[in-house]
Amino acid sequence: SMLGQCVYVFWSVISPQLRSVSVDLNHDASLLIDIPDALCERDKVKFTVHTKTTLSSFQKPDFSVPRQHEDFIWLHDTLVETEDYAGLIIPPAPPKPDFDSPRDKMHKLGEGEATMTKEEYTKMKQELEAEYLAVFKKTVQVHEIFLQRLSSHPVLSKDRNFQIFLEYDQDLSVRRKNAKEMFGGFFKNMVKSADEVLISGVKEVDDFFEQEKTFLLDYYSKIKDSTAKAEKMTRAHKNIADDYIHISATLNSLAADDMTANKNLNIILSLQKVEGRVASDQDLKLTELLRYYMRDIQAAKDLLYRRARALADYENSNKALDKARLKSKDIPQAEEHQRQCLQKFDKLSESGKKELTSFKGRRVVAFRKNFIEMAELEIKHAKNSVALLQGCIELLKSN
Amino acid sequence: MAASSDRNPPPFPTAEESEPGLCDMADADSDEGEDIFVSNSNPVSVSRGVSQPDRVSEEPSDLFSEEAASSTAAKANGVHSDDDNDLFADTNVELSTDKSSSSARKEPSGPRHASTFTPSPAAMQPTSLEQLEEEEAKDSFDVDVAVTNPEKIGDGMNAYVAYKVSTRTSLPMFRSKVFSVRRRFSDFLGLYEKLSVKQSLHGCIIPLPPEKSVVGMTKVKVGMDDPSSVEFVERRRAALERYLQRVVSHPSLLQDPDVREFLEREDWFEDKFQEVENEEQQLRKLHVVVDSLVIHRKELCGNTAVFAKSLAMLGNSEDNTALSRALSQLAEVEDKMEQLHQEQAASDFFIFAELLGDYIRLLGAVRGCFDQRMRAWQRWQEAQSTLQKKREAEAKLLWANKPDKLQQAKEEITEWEARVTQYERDFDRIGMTVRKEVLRFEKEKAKDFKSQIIKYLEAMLQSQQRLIKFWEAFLPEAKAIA
Repeated sequence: SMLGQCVYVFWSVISPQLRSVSVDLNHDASLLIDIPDALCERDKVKFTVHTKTTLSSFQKPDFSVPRQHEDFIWLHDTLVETEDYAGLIIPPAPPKPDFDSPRDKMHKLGEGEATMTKEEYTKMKQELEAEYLAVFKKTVQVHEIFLQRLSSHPVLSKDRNFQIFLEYDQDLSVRRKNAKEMFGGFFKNMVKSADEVLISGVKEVDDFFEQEKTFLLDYYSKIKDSTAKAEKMTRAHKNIADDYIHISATLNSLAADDMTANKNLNIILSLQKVEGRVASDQDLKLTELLRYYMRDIQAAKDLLYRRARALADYENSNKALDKARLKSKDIPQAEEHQRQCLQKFDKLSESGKKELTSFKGRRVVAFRKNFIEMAELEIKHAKNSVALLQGCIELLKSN
Repeated sequence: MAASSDRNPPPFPTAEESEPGLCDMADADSDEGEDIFVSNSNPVSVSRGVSQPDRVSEEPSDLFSEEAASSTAAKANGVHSDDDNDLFADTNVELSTDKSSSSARKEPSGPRHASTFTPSPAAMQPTSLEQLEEEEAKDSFDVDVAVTNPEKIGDGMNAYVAYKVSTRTSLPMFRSKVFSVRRRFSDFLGLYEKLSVKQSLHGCIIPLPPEKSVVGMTKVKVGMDDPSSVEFVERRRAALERYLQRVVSHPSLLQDPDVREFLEREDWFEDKFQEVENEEQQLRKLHVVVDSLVIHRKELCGNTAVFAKSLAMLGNSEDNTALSRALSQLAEVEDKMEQLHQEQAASDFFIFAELLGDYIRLLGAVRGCFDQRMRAWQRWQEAQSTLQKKREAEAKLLWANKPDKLQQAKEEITEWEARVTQYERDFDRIGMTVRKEVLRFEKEKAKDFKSQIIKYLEAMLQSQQRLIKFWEAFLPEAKAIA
């Protein structure tokens, strides 16, 4: 099948406005990362990760490696598990490439092939190929942003595993397997207990974090809801675009009055194209934006969870110290433990505050950028439609 | 124009046949055929559509291009199970074997469609002694037929392939020198059925048409472009051509009115009826898709409204003031979009879908009036048949010498003669009316569709213009985010 073929995409050629639902992250010349192309074989996508750097910590100034989605997940998970980064917002892991939708549609199209005209089939196939390509572009984009978030972060960009990811020219899967066994369970436990820790209401000492907690919890549920509803909206747009294809194909067969039919055909076809573009632009600018920040806010929430956990640890260490003092036993250890907990908590709080503040700024800038672009695109497409419609109406009337 | 210089009648084979009544076609098929075409000095007179496809169009351009123009009307993609109709063709033919004329599916000429074929005047009268001699000595080999231009008509289950049957002839019994008609596979089968019933009584060997093929036609369903379908259609086309060549090469069969009718009669009514059927089918299909469009548009409405609310909630949650404001504004824009989608859905339905629905029903009415004409024809035919029976009965009575019953028989004959005349007149009248009506209907339909589509597009245009305003109002809000 078509989906089984290899798709080779030269990413850099594609419109730059499709990149970054975040702000332009790739501007620090000391470490520039991009994904210039990607290969799709059956179910697996192979990304070419390209690095340009002036840093001496890398062996070469300019190099590329092939990476799979699982490699990205490995990198993300190791970063999450690293104690030192507990006070940082770890950029959300890119979601798995999902070609189910176009694949299912392609399957249905194959089954329905006998009932449609050749032209209709060809157009539907082209639409599906475009959809497939759009999914492909999105997944490349989201993987690229992940890396760029890391490269533009003062602390994370120096991570050893990050460097290995960028540079190691062998297959990472061996290292990945080992890591997974070590960290798999721990991470899962973290996520499970996170809500409980927060909600069980460890007394918050800091107003900032109290506010952040309230805000992020609320915002997360709202943005999750908006993302889901935006997705539905985009799907409906796509369905309409598909309908226009069928309409134009049938009009083609009708050809009652040749001239009129051709005009109708052209206008319907063009409207379909516009409708399709509207759908995919909305998807990219709005739905993808919401989706990305939903995940980013989850990452921010994770930071809060870790900090809340550290706070809980600190409070437990306090209790332990009190106990030790009562029993007059192991007081130095208890004191040391308490000191460490406090230190950790303070560190998390300090770093967390910075991260969350810059996160706000980043989010606002990204929303602004995408809203502007979306509005401009809507206007552009609508103006196109207006021109098309006016031309066609005039033509029909003058006949 | 058909230049007579174009056509040198083929030299006559020395040996054999062409005695009227001799039906041994054993040699005729291969040998005669070869003889004619191999020994023919002027290749121009050989009409072999496939091997020289351009040749067919070299011929009098006005005839062929005219026909081409009138036949584009019902052009469509899609497939038809030829074989389904082949069964019907059989039953039709069985019914009609009792009658002397053609089957119910094919109507005899109503008012003949105004000259698709203009007989070239020069060819009708031999102008030289040479030609005179040739005319006198000519036999059935003055007819060449070709089967070309397979074309898929209709869509989906009911599509079929129409072939162009072109004839070149010098025989005066045909109304023209060069002409063509469109026939489908079942028409060829129908011809065979008629011939085999009539002529086989004389002991003639009737040439056979190619066999039906369900598998072959099913492949053609998928599209005529894949190699196996192309091959199938080509094989069939060639086989049909050979079949017809054999038929016209047979002197008795050539004289058969059914053969003449098959070759030259272009029935306006039949074609129009087919057109109407096709159009109805396409409109039905379109209606289904437009219904789907309406549903999806309504879904979009619902989704947009829900999304707008969600976005408003998100705006309330947002702690950055400017962004919060922008989110609320965006929610309002989406609300307005929902309004636009609603109106568009109404337009889809009330203008587009209803229009289609109306015309589907109207086309049914058009088909109805064709049916009326058919019934009038049948009544006429039945009356003729009854008249024939009465005459036979009279003859029998004469022979049996029963004068009292004879009088009654004579009266009945008179009565039925009057009826036949009446019904024939009725039939002609209905035919003219149907024709006028259909033409009027088509004009109205074209006008109607055009005006409705303009309305639909204008509504869409307004909608898009408002959309622009909404987003242009939002843009500064987005830019104000800080």
